Amino acid sequence: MRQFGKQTGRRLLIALFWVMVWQLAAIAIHNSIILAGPWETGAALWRMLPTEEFWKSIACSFAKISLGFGAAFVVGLGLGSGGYCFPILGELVEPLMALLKSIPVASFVILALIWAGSANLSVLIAFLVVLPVIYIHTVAGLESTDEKLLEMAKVFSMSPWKQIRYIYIPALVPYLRSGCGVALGMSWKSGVAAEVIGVPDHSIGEKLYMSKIYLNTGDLMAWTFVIIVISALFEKAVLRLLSGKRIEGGDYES
Amino acid sequence: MSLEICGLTKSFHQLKVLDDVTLTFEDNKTYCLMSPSGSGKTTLFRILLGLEQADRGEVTGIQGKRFGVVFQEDRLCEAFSPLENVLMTAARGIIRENARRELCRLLPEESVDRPVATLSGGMKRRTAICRALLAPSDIVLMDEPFTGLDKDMRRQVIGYIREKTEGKMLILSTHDPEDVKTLGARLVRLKPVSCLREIRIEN
Repeated sequence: MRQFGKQTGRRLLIALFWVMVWQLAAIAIHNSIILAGPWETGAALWRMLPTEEFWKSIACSFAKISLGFGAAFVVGLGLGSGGYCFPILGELVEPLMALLKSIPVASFVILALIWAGSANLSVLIAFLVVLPVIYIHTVAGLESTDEKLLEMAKVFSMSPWKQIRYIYIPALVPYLRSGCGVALGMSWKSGVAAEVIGVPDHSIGEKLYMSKIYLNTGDLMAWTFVIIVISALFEKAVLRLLSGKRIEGGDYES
Repeated sequence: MSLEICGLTKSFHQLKVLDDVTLTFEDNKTYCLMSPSGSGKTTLFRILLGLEQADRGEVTGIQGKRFGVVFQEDRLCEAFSPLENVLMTAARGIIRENARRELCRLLPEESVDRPVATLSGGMKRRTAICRALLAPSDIVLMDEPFTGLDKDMRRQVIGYIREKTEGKMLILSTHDPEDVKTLGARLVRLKPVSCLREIRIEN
């Protein structure tokens, strides 16, 4: 407990140090268009907080990016599992995943804008960016399954359901956790970038775009701060869902 | 019905591990395989379990038989408790409370619900033994089941094994002649170069 308090205090001090560096830089530059200081950013955030549009934009962007992420998670998990069980399916899907992984997000956004319009652009972009990550981690997780445990399951004639629950899922979860850790950040970055290009109504991307148009760096930084906070909270929530049973280390002697 | 092994031969990368092994194991009897490390005991078990194909020879009397097995490694699902590990392979009629009671005969009560990963090597071994004995089986195979157990615990575990394998065929590998006596088993020496003989141990 004491150690925890010490660590939190240390982190707060480090954060405070960087906020001071930011403030000093803002004072030195003395141009709020080039760099808004923490005070201006905080004031911009304070101004936006009570407005309905602020919460509406957050809700719309969150819903769309989460939907894209969730759909990619389900499809990636399904395709990865299918590819593990039926290698022919894996061979078929592999080039598509490699392609999705290597296409630049900007190309995706422009193509998706033509195909789907701007309203649901962030859903599609988050989906396309997250899908290959989840697929690759699913396949890697399933391939890491302990062969010896599978032999044990065969010898004891364990049902497929029990094999999934007791052998495959524990092997898969660490890979999915690490995949989600990467994919969650990517989904928010690419989703908001897509919104900035597509400028759908009531979205965080639209607000970032407007900040650019009006050269309102304070608003821009306030929205950036909001994105970081939501993205971190979303990541925490998803990883907690995936964490399952935690094992304390150390031997237990009889 | 007996289990017959006839002319079993197996090589790995041109290295012969089993060479023309012929053996008969009878029902309701206990056998101890005793031989130096690397003489093919584990390979023989793996062939009996259908996990390995023999190069030559045949095994009869195992078709449709169910096995309870202690592998050379524990092969437990480490994130789950001993109770869950036993229940995941246990016979249908075994309910949670029965499994708990059986485990408590070999493990301290407070360890039955802890994740296996947090248990000592000896506790893991006893969990693996309990799992093999509570699984539905006609033949029980145990590959060096007493590794990591001290003398007293070994005696206690042997008593438990004898009780639970009554009326079943038990084939067990060990390096300790004392185990053969305590189990009241028939001794089978598997020699590295195919020379095989069976010696009856008088109790």
